[in-house]
Amino acid sequence: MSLTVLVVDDSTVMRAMIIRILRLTGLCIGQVYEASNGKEALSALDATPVDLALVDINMPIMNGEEMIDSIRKNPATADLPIIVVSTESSVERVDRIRQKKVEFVHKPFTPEVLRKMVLQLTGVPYEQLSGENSLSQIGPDF
Amino acid sequence: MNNSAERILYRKSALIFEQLGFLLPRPDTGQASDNESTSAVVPFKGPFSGCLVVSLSTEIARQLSCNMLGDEKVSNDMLQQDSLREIAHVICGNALPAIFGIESVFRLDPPAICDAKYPAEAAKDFSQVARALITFDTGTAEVNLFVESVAIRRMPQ
Repeated sequence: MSLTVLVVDDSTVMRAMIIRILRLTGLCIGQVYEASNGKEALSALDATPVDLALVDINMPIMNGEEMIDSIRKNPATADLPIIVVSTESSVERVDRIRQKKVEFVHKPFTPEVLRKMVLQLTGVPYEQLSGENSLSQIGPDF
Repeated sequence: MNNSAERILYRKSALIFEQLGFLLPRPDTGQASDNESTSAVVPFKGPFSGCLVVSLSTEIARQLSCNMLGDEKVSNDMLQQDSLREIAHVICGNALPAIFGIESVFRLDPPAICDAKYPAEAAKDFSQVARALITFDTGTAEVNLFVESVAIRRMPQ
Protein backbone atom coordinates (compact mmCIF):
# COMPACT_ATOMS: atom_id res chain seq x y z
CA MET A 1 0.00 0.00 0.00
CA SER A 2 1.22 3.53 -0.75
CA LEU A 3 -0.10 6.94 0.21
CA THR A 4 -1.15 9.56 -2.32
CA VAL A 5 -0.26 12.96 -0.89
CA LEU A 6 -1.05 16.61 -1.61
CA VAL A 7 1.54 19.18 -0.48
CA VAL A 8 0.31 22.79 -0.29
CA ASP A 9 2.78 25.63 0.23
CA ASP A 10 3.42 28.88 -1.65
CA SER A 11 7.16 28.23 -1.64
CA THR A 12 8.50 25.90 -4.36
CA VAL A 13 11.53 25.15 -2.21
CA MET A 14 9.47 24.38 0.90
CA ARG A 15 7.24 22.02 -1.09
CA ALA A 16 10.33 20.20 -2.34
CA MET A 17 11.69 20.12 1.21
CA ILE A 18 8.48 18.68 2.64
CA ILE A 19 8.38 16.03 -0.10
CA ARG A 20 12.01 15.20 0.61
CA ILE A 21 11.35 14.73 4.32
CA LEU A 22 8.19 12.77 3.53
CA ARG A 23 10.24 10.35 1.44
CA LEU A 24 12.80 10.06 4.24
CA THR A 25 10.13 8.78 6.64
CA GLY A 26 10.56 5.26 5.25
CA LEU A 27 6.82 5.12 4.51
CA CYS A 28 5.57 4.00 1.13
CA ILE A 29 4.70 7.24 -0.63
CA GLY A 30 3.02 7.04 -4.03
CA GLN A 31 1.97 10.00 -6.17
CA VAL A 32 2.68 13.42 -4.64
CA TYR A 33 0.70 16.38 -5.96
CA GLU A 34 1.62 19.99 -5.33
CA ALA A 35 -0.35 23.22 -4.98
CA SER A 36 0.87 26.72 -4.20
CA ASN A 37 -2.25 28.00 -2.42
CA GLY A 38 -5.57 26.85 -1.01
CA LYS A 39 -7.53 27.50 -4.19
CA GLU A 40 -5.18 25.39 -6.29
CA ALA A 41 -5.32 22.68 -3.64
CA LEU A 42 -9.13 22.54 -3.73
CA SER A 43 -9.02 22.19 -7.54
CA ALA A 44 -6.47 19.41 -7.18
CA LEU A 45 -8.69 17.61 -4.66
CA ASP A 46 -11.68 17.93 -7.00
CA ALA A 47 -9.67 16.23 -9.73
CA THR A 48 -7.93 13.56 -7.66
CA PRO A 49 -8.61 12.10 -4.25
CA VAL A 50 -5.60 11.85 -1.94
CA ASP A 51 -4.89 9.97 1.30
CA LEU A 52 -3.15 12.82 3.11
CA ALA A 53 -2.55 16.59 2.79
CA LEU A 54 0.37 18.57 4.18
CA VAL A 55 -0.63 22.22 4.33
CA ASP A 56 1.02 25.56 5.05
CA ILE A 57 -1.11 28.22 6.75
CA ASN A 58 0.10 31.56 5.44
CA MET A 59 -0.42 31.57 1.68
CA PRO A 60 -1.67 34.13 -0.86
CA ILE A 61 -5.07 33.89 -2.64
CA MET A 62 -6.51 31.35 -0.18
CA ASN A 63 -4.77 30.62 3.11
CA GLY A 64 -4.54 27.26 4.83
CA GLU A 65 -7.29 27.86 7.38
CA GLU A 66 -9.83 28.84 4.70
CA MET A 67 -8.78 25.84 2.65
CA ILE A 68 -9.20 23.43 5.58
CA ASP A 69 -12.66 24.88 6.29
CA SER A 70 -13.69 24.20 2.66
CA ILE A 71 -12.30 20.67 2.80
CA ARG A 72 -14.19 19.91 6.02
CA LYS A 73 -17.46 21.29 4.58
CA ASN A 74 -17.26 19.05 1.50
CA PRO A 75 -18.61 15.56 2.29
CA ALA A 76 -16.17 14.03 -0.23
CA THR A 77 -13.13 15.39 1.63
CA ALA A 78 -14.49 16.03 5.14
CA ASP A 79 -12.43 13.24 6.70
CA LEU A 80 -9.20 13.86 4.80
CA PRO A 81 -6.19 13.53 7.15
CA ILE A 82 -4.43 16.92 7.20
CA ILE A 83 -1.11 17.91 8.72
CA VAL A 84 -0.49 21.64 9.05
CA VAL A 85 3.17 22.52 8.54
CA SER A 86 3.93 25.96 9.91
CA THR A 87 6.19 28.21 11.96
CA GLU A 88 3.16 29.48 13.87
CA SER A 89 4.02 29.97 17.54
CA SER A 90 0.75 31.40 18.85
CA VAL A 91 -0.73 28.74 21.15
CA GLU A 92 -4.16 30.28 20.63
CA ARG A 93 -3.94 30.04 16.84
CA VAL A 94 -2.49 26.52 16.93
CA ASP A 95 -5.36 25.40 19.21
CA ARG A 96 -7.89 27.00 16.85
CA ILE A 97 -6.34 25.19 13.89
CA ARG A 98 -6.28 21.87 15.80
CA GLN A 99 -10.03 22.17 16.34
CA LYS A 100 -10.43 21.66 12.60
CA LYS A 101 -9.42 18.00 13.11
CA VAL A 102 -5.86 18.47 11.88
CA GLU A 103 -2.45 17.72 13.31
CA PHE A 104 0.20 20.39 13.57
CA VAL A 105 3.92 20.08 12.89
CA HIS A 106 6.28 22.93 13.61
CA LYS A 107 9.06 23.79 11.12
CA PRO A 108 11.76 22.53 11.18
CA PHE A 109 10.74 18.91 11.68
CA THR A 110 12.40 15.54 11.28
CA PRO A 111 11.30 12.51 9.22
CA GLU A 112 10.70 10.64 12.50
CA VAL A 113 8.22 13.24 13.75
CA LEU A 114 6.42 13.28 10.42
CA ARG A 115 6.27 9.46 10.22
CA LYS A 116 4.70 9.23 13.67
CA MET A 117 2.12 11.84 12.76
CA VAL A 118 1.24 10.28 9.39
CA LEU A 119 0.72 6.85 10.99
CA GLN A 120 -1.36 8.36 13.78
CA LEU A 121 -3.56 10.39 11.43
CA THR A 122 -4.10 7.82 8.70
CA GLY A 123 -4.56 4.96 11.15
CA VAL A 124 -2.70 2.65 8.78
CA PRO A 125 -0.36 0.22 10.58
CA TYR A 126 3.36 0.83 10.00
CA GLU A 127 3.79 -2.68 8.52
CA GLN A 128 1.41 -1.78 5.69
CA LEU A 129 3.09 1.53 4.88
CA SER A 130 6.77 0.71 5.25
CA GLY A 131 8.86 -0.26 2.26
CA GLU A 132 10.61 0.96 -0.84
CA ASN A 133 9.31 4.32 -1.97
CA SER A 134 12.21 6.20 -3.45
CA LEU A 135 11.26 5.36 -7.04
CA SER A 136 7.80 6.88 -6.79
CA GLN A 137 7.22 9.73 -9.18
CA ILE A 138 6.44 13.22 -8.01
CA GLY A 139 3.23 14.50 -9.49
CA PRO A 140 2.74 17.60 -11.59
CA ASP A 141 2.16 21.10 -10.30
CA PHE A 142 -1.44 22.19 -10.28
CA MET B 1 23.77 43.32 22.42
CA ASN B 2 22.30 40.77 24.79
CA ASN B 3 24.36 37.65 25.55
CA SER B 4 21.43 35.41 26.36
CA ALA B 5 19.57 36.43 23.21
CA GLU B 6 22.71 35.88 21.13
CA ARG B 7 23.16 32.36 22.50
CA ILE B 8 19.55 31.48 21.78
CA LEU B 9 19.67 33.04 18.32
CA TYR B 10 22.84 31.10 17.46
CA ARG B 11 21.48 27.80 18.80
CA LYS B 12 18.15 28.09 17.00
CA SER B 13 19.71 29.27 13.74
CA ALA B 14 22.36 26.53 13.71
CA LEU B 15 19.74 23.85 14.36
CA ILE B 16 17.50 25.14 11.58
CA PHE B 17 20.36 25.28 9.06
CA GLU B 18 21.15 21.70 10.02
CA GLN B 19 17.60 20.29 9.96
CA LEU B 20 16.10 22.30 7.14
CA GLY B 21 19.16 23.00 5.02
CA PHE B 22 21.26 19.92 5.75
CA LEU B 23 24.17 22.31 6.41
CA LEU B 24 26.38 21.37 9.34
CA PRO B 25 27.81 24.37 11.22
CA ARG B 26 31.47 24.26 12.19
CA PRO B 27 32.13 24.36 15.92
CA ASP B 28 34.49 27.34 15.62
CA THR B 29 33.24 30.86 15.09
CA GLY B 30 34.67 32.44 11.99
CA GLN B 31 34.42 35.82 10.38
CA ALA B 32 31.70 36.93 8.02
CA SER B 33 32.61 36.18 4.42
CA ASP B 34 33.93 39.19 2.62
CA ASN B 35 32.47 38.15 -0.70
CA GLU B 36 28.99 38.98 -1.92
CA SER B 37 26.01 37.97 0.16
CA THR B 38 22.26 37.76 -0.27
CA SER B 39 19.95 38.94 2.51
CA ALA B 40 16.33 38.43 3.48
CA VAL B 41 14.33 40.35 6.07
CA VAL B 42 11.37 39.16 8.12
CA PRO B 43 9.52 42.10 9.69
CA PHE B 44 7.35 41.22 12.69
CA LYS B 45 4.74 42.86 14.92
CA GLY B 46 3.38 41.92 18.31
CA PRO B 47 4.06 43.23 21.80
CA PHE B 48 6.69 45.25 19.94
CA SER B 49 7.90 45.32 16.38
CA GLY B 50 11.23 44.57 14.79
CA CYS B 51 12.86 42.53 12.09
CA LEU B 52 15.21 39.63 11.60
CA VAL B 53 17.74 39.74 8.77
CA VAL B 54 19.55 36.66 7.44
CA SER B 55 22.54 37.10 5.10
CA LEU B 56 24.14 34.19 3.30
CA SER B 57 27.44 34.13 1.46
CA THR B 58 27.10 33.16 -2.21
CA GLU B 59 28.14 29.52 -1.91
CA ILE B 60 25.99 28.90 1.16
CA ALA B 61 22.97 30.38 -0.63
CA ARG B 62 23.55 27.95 -3.51
CA GLN B 63 24.14 24.95 -1.24
CA LEU B 64 21.10 25.71 0.88
CA SER B 65 18.87 25.80 -2.17
CA CYS B 66 20.33 22.58 -3.62
CA ASN B 67 19.98 20.79 -0.29
CA MET B 68 16.42 21.91 0.29
CA LEU B 69 15.44 20.90 -3.23
CA GLY B 70 17.40 17.67 -3.00
CA ASP B 71 18.97 18.36 -6.38
CA GLU B 72 22.46 19.67 -7.14
CA LYS B 73 21.59 20.86 -10.64
CA VAL B 74 18.40 22.85 -10.51
CA SER B 75 19.34 25.77 -8.30
CA ASN B 76 18.97 29.24 -9.81
CA ASP B 77 18.72 32.76 -8.42
CA MET B 78 14.96 32.55 -7.96
CA LEU B 79 15.13 29.27 -6.04
CA GLN B 80 18.07 30.49 -3.97
CA GLN B 81 16.05 33.52 -2.94
CA ASP B 82 13.05 31.31 -2.16
CA SER B 83 15.24 29.10 0.08
CA LEU B 84 16.69 32.11 1.86
CA ARG B 85 13.26 33.63 2.48
CA GLU B 86 11.96 30.34 3.87
CA ILE B 87 14.87 29.72 6.21
CA ALA B 88 14.73 33.32 7.45
CA HIS B 89 11.02 32.89 8.18
CA VAL B 90 11.57 29.63 10.08
CA ILE B 91 14.48 31.09 12.10
CA CYS B 92 12.38 34.12 13.02
CA GLY B 93 9.35 31.98 13.96
CA ASN B 94 11.50 29.82 16.24
CA ALA B 95 13.83 32.46 17.70
CA LEU B 96 11.26 35.04 18.84
CA PRO B 97 9.32 32.81 21.29
CA ALA B 98 12.60 31.31 22.51
CA ILE B 99 14.04 34.75 23.28
CA PHE B 100 10.96 36.66 24.42
CA GLY B 101 8.85 33.79 25.82
CA ILE B 102 5.92 31.88 24.31
CA GLU B 103 3.44 34.29 25.86
CA SER B 104 4.75 36.97 23.47
CA VAL B 105 2.81 36.33 20.28
CA PHE B 106 4.26 37.84 17.13
CA ARG B 107 2.77 38.08 13.67
CA LEU B 108 5.44 37.58 11.03
CA ASP B 109 5.17 39.45 7.75
CA PRO B 110 6.12 37.57 4.58
CA PRO B 111 9.91 37.44 4.22
CA ALA B 112 11.48 39.58 1.49
CA ILE B 113 14.84 39.75 -0.22
CA CYS B 114 16.61 42.94 0.79
CA ASP B 115 19.69 44.91 0.00
CA ALA B 116 22.93 43.80 1.65
CA LYS B 117 22.99 47.18 3.38
CA TYR B 118 19.59 46.56 4.99
CA PRO B 119 20.95 45.60 8.44
CA ALA B 120 22.61 49.01 8.68
CA GLU B 121 19.34 50.66 7.58
CA ALA B 122 17.30 48.63 10.09
CA ALA B 123 19.61 49.74 12.86
CA LYS B 124 18.40 53.32 12.30
CA ASP B 125 14.83 52.42 13.27
CA PHE B 126 15.46 49.61 15.74
CA SER B 127 18.03 48.51 18.30
CA GLN B 128 20.11 45.50 17.42
CA VAL B 129 19.78 42.97 20.23
CA ALA B 130 21.50 39.91 18.85
CA ARG B 131 23.79 38.73 16.09
CA ALA B 132 24.68 35.13 15.27
CA LEU B 133 27.44 34.23 12.85
CA ILE B 134 27.31 30.62 11.72
CA THR B 135 30.35 29.23 9.96
CA PHE B 136 30.20 26.37 7.47
CA ASP B 137 33.00 24.75 5.50
CA THR B 138 32.24 26.84 2.42
CA GLY B 139 30.91 30.12 3.78
CA THR B 140 28.88 31.85 6.46
CA ALA B 141 25.39 32.79 7.50
CA GLU B 142 24.77 35.91 9.56
CA VAL B 143 21.55 36.42 11.51
CA ASN B 144 20.73 39.83 12.98
CA LEU B 145 17.79 40.60 15.23
CA PHE B 146 16.48 44.15 15.62
CA VAL B 147 13.66 45.28 17.92
CA GLU B 148 12.08 48.48 19.16
CA SER B 149 13.96 49.93 22.10
CA VAL B 150 10.97 49.29 24.35
CA ALA B 151 11.64 45.54 24.02
CA ILE B 152 15.12 45.66 25.47
CA ARG B 153 13.95 45.68 29.08
CA ARG B 154 11.84 42.55 28.50
CA MET B 155 14.85 40.50 27.54
CA PRO B 156 16.64 37.96 29.73
CA GLN B 157 20.19 38.97 30.58
